[in-house]
Amino acid sequence: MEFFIENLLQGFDAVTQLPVLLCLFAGSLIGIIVGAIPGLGPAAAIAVLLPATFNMEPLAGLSILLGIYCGAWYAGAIPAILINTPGTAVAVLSTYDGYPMTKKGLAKRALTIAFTSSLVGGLISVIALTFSASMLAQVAKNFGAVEFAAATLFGLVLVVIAHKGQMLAAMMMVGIGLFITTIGLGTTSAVPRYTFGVTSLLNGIPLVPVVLGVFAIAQALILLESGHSKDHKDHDTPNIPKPKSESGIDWQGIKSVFKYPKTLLRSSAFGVGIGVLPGVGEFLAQFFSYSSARKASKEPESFGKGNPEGLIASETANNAVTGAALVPLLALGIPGEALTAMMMSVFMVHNVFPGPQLFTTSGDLVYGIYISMMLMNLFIFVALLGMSRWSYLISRIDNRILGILILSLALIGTYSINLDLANVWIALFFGIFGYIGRRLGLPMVPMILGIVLGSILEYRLVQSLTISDGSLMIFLERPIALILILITLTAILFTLFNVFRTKGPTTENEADAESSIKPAPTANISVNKTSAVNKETDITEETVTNEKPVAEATLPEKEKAPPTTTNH
Amino acid sequence: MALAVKSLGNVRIILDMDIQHTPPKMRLVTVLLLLFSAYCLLIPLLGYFVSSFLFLTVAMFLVGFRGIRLLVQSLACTSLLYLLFIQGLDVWFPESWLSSVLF
Repeated sequence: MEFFIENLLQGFDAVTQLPVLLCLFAGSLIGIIVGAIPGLGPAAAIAVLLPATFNMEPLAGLSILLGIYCGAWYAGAIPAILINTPGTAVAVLSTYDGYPMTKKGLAKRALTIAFTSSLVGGLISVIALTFSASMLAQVAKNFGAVEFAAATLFGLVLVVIAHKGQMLAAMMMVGIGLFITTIGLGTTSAVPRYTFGVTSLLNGIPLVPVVLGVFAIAQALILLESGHSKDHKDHDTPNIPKPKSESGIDWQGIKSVFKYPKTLLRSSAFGVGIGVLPGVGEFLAQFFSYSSARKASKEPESFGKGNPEGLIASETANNAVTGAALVPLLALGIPGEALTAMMMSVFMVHNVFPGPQLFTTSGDLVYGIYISMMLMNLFIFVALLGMSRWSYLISRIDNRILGILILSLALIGTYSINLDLANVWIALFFGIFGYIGRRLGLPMVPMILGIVLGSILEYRLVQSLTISDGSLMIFLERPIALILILITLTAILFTLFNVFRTKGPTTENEADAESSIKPAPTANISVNKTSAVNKETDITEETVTNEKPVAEATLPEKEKAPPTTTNH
Repeated sequence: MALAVKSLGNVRIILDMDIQHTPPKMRLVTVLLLLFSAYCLLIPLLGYFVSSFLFLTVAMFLVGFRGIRLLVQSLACTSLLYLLFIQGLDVWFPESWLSSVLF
């Protein structure tokens, strides 16, 4: 315990350096802005700023990126509540109860409630991160190359399984990612692979140009296509109370959030629990949290019609994911999603390798991250409450200028990594790839994770095979590795079983693939017809019964929603 | 574990990337991508500032800005990029052909 407090104080010391604090505030503000702009999300912002953070102190760079990450999740609620368009994809469920509140003239109350419950979720998440990361690191201390290889494999499998309904597409994208990591000199053999004599490819394909291409360039193109979204104006204004009358802080709103302690705790638990799993993401956490709050509520029929509890459930859960998502990255060195994968490269540039030894070698960095996240949650909360009068302006920024600026930022960003224009061509290639992929509805996150996890997997696998003289049996001889492999196998078998049991042999699989290609509407919670067959577990039944009313309740609103992009 | 996997089966997860509403405008995108490649090729010839200014002006023209607003906006954005990256973050570019001719 003493050690723990000492570490926390050290972390506090590290954060209270002026550059780190400035980065923290700047990151949070950028996050708030990109989060509040529909069609622009943290992924694009983090990708663009990633090269710039490489020259900074690790904690300062990470504070910017984490600030963007956390800030965007808070601010995504602003357009969700005010104009019924989620600013980030994870704010989808906030439109259900947030926008009806605005229509009743309670916009400010709704915003205050959203920010307060986000704060609760965020803080609980950081606390959970503080305890569970060091605990997991304790366990992982005994991990060798073999165990890490098995854990990474498990992560890859989870990423695919998490893309329900698009599993084949996700598998393909992971495969492409894994292939991309093999380009360049082999890890141990130093044999050039797939370079075709091009010198720039010998070092492999660096992550940053790929990320910039897929997230920034592709996103910019889509923003430019969408043009200036004027349709917002005639959509919302009559119902939003005049911003001038809204000065001051709505203390009542803050207080009212704490009238639902059970919802707060349950939603945070969903957020933290699901956030830890790799590849699964915020949306699932939010969905579970919303539907269970609805189920537990005394007046479930008011959900979707402006019940503050629904807003609380949705906002608490998506912010509770932020801290938890860092657990696998810090404790195992295995990032679980695209944003944390990008953060991992900040560690790598500074020769700091996330994983169990991180807690002993650079404890001040780890605890600095905790303190930094704590502070940024508070800062974002205060900033948003102060700004809520102007917050609606943010969602009016012209998409076209943003898109063009992102393109030019992508160029200088990729160039500045090692002052080589070859990287810009790689980024351009992946920009085109990402754009086409998005138009086809292919998930891009699995590819990024394939690249990041692929290099870890290769490195650890080669290490393991060196230990065992080339025999794969080593994975079955070490107990922890064996358990991980068995869990992975169970997960695969179970998914396969589910697919064949519920989907039928051929035709419905194709229908599924087709539906994933079509652009999914913003509030698409598809009711899985076939899963009704499957009534073996309680959870299955619960979700099936919960899904229908939610989806139906929002149908009319969905039609009204202005056609804007809601991706990152 | 089994429960977790099973429950995943009932939710169609919307991940960050896969939601699209706007109709594609293939011609605009192709032209923009070509413009971006030209930007990349022009940097060694014209230097960062001039080629950025050209890129921003043409790109803004393509998406519908006209007149004095176009020039002011692109000049402001170019200066912002230049100050931030070349002056602020010290990104180095090799001497361009244009500046070697002029100076």
